[in-house]
Amino acid sequence: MIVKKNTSSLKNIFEAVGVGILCCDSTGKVLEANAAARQLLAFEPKRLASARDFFAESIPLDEEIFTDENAYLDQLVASRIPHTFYPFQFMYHRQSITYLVSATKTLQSGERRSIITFYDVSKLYEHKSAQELFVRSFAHELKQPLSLMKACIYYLQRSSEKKSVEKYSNQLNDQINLITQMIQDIVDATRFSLNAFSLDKKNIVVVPLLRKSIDNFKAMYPSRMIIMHVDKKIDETILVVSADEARLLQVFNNLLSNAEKYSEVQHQINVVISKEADSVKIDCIDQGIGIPEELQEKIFEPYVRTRNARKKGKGLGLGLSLVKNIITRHGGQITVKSNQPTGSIFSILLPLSR
Amino acid sequence: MASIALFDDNEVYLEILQQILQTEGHDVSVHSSTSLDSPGVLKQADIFLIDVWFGTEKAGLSLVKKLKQQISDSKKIILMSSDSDVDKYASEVTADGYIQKPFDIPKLLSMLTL
Repeated sequence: MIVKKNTSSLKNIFEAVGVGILCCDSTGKVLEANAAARQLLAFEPKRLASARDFFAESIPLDEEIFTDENAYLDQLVASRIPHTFYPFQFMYHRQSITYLVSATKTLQSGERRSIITFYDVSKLYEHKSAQELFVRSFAHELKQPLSLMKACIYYLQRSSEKKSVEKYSNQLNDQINLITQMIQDIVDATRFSLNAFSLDKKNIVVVPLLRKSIDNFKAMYPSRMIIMHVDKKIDETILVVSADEARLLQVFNNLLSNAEKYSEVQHQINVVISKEADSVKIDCIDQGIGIPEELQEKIFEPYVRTRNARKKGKGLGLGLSLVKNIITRHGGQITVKSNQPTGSIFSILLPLSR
Repeated sequence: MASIALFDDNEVYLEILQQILQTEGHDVSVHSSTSLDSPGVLKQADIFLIDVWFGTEKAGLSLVKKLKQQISDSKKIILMSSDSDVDKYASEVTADGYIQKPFDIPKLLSMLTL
């Protein structure tokens, strides 16, 4: 009775467990498959004849051990005891699914059996691929300013002409700032992606904070004209938002610094503040190189830069994705459209505190 | 001294490389796109120094392939890139040399001797 009860309980567990399990005989014929295996492998009950059907359509990711499909079980089960683990990639409905496959050899009533388990690790693999891509692009982008710095140093060691020395010393300084910014962006982007940062929200009057950001900016770029316009019909003091001051400053600094980087020094930057329904609207308007329409939505994704921005050779393409992240975490929105005749208008909407 | 055509999408980098190479006595033209809209460059330049990546594309490699059909074998094509696979790219397009960024300028200068 107890044995029967245990068997039924084990069958329930076998059926309910989230890991796909196949029990095959020594030829690979599937004897049993639990619900997760049936779902993961998308096996029709009729097709559940052999695990070979699955392996024949899969691509082992790490090793070429499965070049001979017919011998797969021998290789998978017999050669490694007690477990083998392989990541497999499988195309299903044009989507690539990656499984971690493990096989175990057992003896049941004197017959060789194999238990194959499948665990869907697609998400993990996507993450791994994204990480690899990120490391490659970071290394690549870091080498750009380093190349420039090497050239500047070479030049400075040989030139005594005051004007050139000043120019390339400034260039060297710019490149160091650029690398510092890249590193900070990466730290921030990682924190954001892990949700490992908290917002210290307080009620903040927007106009003075923006004025502070603009003043800091003017101190760094004294020859740049930057003008703030506040809609005269509204009382500045009612434009209060619940926000993390440091993060909001980061947003303003980032937009201003983009406007500065991608426009000529003689071009004025305008910041316009207005009230729109229950939100405050901040427009940052430049006359720079602009963003092609087809990229205006994508520009907020990490690592996306326009061809022209790349020519200027500045940054990793993380700044605007951070800005969007911060604004979204504050319940706001950010969009960009083209300015006429050239440049961009970045518009932020932030909900007013009640 | 050589006549050098520099192709890179970073304009600041182009400017300083041009200045350095000119100081060394080379005649230098700079190009921040891969279009060959100034045919004079093809005739004049002895050495083409080409970055592999333009934007997100390896457009520098297509440029080398195009150049190979239009210039004489006596002219040199050197690839440069921050990518560690620059050696593979160079052999793929049968460039005459390659240099990985960031490089020391004397190393580049030694490659530019005809």
